[in-house]
Amino acid sequence: MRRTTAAVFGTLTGTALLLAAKFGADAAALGKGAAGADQAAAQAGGELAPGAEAPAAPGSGRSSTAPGRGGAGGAGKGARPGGGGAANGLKDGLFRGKASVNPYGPIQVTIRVAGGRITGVAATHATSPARTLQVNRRAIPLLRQETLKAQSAQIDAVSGATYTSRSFAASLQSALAAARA
Amino acid sequence: MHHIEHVMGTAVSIEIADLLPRATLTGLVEQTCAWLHEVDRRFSTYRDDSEITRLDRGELAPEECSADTRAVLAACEDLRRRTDGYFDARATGRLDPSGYVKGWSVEVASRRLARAGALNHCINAGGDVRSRGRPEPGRAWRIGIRHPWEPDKLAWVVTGTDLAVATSGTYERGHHVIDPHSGEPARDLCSVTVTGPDLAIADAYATAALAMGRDGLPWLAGLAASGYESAAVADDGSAYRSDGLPVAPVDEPAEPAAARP
Repeated sequence: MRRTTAAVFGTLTGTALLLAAKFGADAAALGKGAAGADQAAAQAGGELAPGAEAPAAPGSGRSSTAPGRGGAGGAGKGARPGGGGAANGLKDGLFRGKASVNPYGPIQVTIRVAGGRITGVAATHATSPARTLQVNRRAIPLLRQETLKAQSAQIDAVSGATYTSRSFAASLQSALAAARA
Repeated sequence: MHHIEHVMGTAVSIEIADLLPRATLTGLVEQTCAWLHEVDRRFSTYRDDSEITRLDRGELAPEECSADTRAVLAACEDLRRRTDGYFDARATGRLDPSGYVKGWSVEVASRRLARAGALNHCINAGGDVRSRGRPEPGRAWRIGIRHPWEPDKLAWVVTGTDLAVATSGTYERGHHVIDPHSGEPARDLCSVTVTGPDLAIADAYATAALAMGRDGLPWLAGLAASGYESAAVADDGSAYRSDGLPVAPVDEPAEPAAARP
């Protein structure tokens, strides 16, 4: 996998989740996705201290924690979510979390700790071929996650996966036509 | 006037809402159907004598093809680049531009209707919808996006007066979208809808995102800058949409598709 070079500081919603998961915010509130966080960390230039790795982001595809736009909160730029200073038992250095897959793709977070405090957070998106496009380079726009609804409503047409002329959707469309005739 | 035509392997619904003389409406519907059948003849991969089949077999050189065919092939190539290869008219190893052709033919049909004075119409080609104008004064077209597992239910309703809505999914014909990079069927996402100004492009984008799997979600988010909004459902039931998706307010409480006041 290639990796985009631009790190995103403090603006990424995933970052907030990661920090919350690590530093004692109510992990249960993160949903079941966080429970599967992989504690294994990749070596980061030899600076990784065992036991101090940042946990991976919600690891499974079924994460319910994927935030929508605007959920970034104030976790960036050395914020201290959920705890203070040395009480966190943080060792100084640069620590890189294991690349993990969240609903928006693989992401890898690096934190810098100085004086027991997080002084920097960076997230890079590991890229597969799909993300060599411009769209993921800077702003990392995200889709908002919603609860899947199963609703009924007055409509004029149905958009769906291409159906054969015998399929249900075709008959639904015909029924609409009949109902409106 | 509402007409359903079976063409291009699916049911195409043509609804014209303009108050025009009946003979005029009938003529417009007939012209639209004739065009769609002509496209089917020229672009079908199921017909031995279509331009596409002959081109694929090497019996026809690209420069011998009609202007429409050359335009379609050029558009497919452009979309292949814009989707990082995930929309590929040759994903199956054979030339098959039908993922573009259906949307394009409906887009052309819609433009022709508008030019002929039918400014208010909605064409639904097997789930890919192009709407213009209004179904009735004071109301925009409302297009439901099918729920992937509950065929009689909708996941979203979008609305507009000049809107294309294309959906690609795995629930009707199975895992038929191939990731051209791996050669494997697309997984992870079971339904991707793209809305925007051009049905052919929306359709290609939806197909590409489905082929990308979860990588398609951030990719879709990036399309909004160019006027294409999106909604997607993953295999695990998680649902996503872009902020600018023109969703219609949902009727609360959700009643069966019955009379609204």
